[in-house]
Amino acid sequence: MDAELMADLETVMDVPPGSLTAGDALATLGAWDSLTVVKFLAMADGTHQRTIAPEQLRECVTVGDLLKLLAGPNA
Amino acid sequence: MRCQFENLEVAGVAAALPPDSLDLRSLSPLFGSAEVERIIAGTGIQVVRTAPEGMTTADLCEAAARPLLAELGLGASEVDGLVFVSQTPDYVMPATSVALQDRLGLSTEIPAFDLPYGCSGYIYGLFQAALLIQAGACRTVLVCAGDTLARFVHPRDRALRMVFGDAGSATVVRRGAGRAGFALHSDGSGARHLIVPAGGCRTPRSDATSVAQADASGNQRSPENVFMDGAEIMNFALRRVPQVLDEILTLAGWERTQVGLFALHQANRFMVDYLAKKCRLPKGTTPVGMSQTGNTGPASIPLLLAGERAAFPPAQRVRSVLCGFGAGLSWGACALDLSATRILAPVECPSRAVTALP
Repeated sequence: MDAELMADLETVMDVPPGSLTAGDALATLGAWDSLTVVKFLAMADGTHQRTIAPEQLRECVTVGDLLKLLAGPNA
Repeated sequence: MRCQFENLEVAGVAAALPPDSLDLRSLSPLFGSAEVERIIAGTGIQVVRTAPEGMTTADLCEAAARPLLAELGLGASEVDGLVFVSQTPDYVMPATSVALQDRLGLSTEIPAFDLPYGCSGYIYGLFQAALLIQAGACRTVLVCAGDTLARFVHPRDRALRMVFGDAGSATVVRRGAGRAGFALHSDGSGARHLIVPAGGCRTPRSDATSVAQADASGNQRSPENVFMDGAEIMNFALRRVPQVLDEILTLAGWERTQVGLFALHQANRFMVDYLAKKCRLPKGTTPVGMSQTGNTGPASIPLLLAGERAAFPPAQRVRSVLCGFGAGLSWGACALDLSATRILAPVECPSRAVTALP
């Protein structure tokens, strides 16, 4: 996965650099809550010009799924 | 919908806060210190103001209206219209606006309306007042906007308990020399994203609706509590706020750089700051003022004006844009001159103000 995307994700989740892996389950990450979701959508919109639909986000299970969304096409 | 009104002015704005407050750090034993600090850092909200038991939105609005009418030298007989904007009325029936007519000693000749809107509601309230004046029905309309939504938040809903606060406001709109532009929108397809599902006629309260359940994040709520899908609301705001700001600027014939004040609904610091950046609003024009109050729904814009009145002196308010967005879904913006508007400091609503029906 793109290291830059991962770094952006770590910033949004407010966790130390290098602490996330693509296989991490979102359900086990305390920092993945409604506030982080809002920050993720803003980051996708502003930094990556990605429009992500909330239903796409709800289907994400792992950190890797989020990275794929960031790298993928607009909703 | 877009329209422009002539011969209109906002004479004054005031806001009132309830006496109780919740310091979010006091929730650390419940939610964990690190978690509370993370949320405070993200939302910018440190304290939410809460109405004590028995204090209603009408109490808060009355506390804002009385000093405002006195400051403007307006006698009760000079107010000839009243608009009450709230999602938390005093009663299912009658209209709270009519109760306020009596409590404020206004004439029985006036029309009084309730508008059940939330975070977009201030714009809708000003629009209703403008319509009454433009039609020739009224000369001076009192717009009371506020909510006590915090009491609809489940105490163990971490996501919302640290966001929503209570407040009331009063604004006098009257015939004058100014001009005001409005852009208003509605999209009921998003109603479920920000809602109190039970308590109306569609789903009356029952034993079943009082039962709370935890969601995937551990936030508890029952259908009688307020629910917000943060992702849906953020997506809605990212899409609609830039559009409506473009609309209102075009309608007013203003460039962004000519506007001294963009008063956006105070959802939380992150959202306001991000929308300001996304919409390329000039630096220093978009105040953030919810850190000691929380998101106060329809009162958030007048409360912001009251709290930031010193930072935005009259010369900076010549071209002002107000923008609200939220439950409905509904959203709107207003462009107007607030340079001659008397804006009072927020007052605290005393508990003794609590009154029952006569």
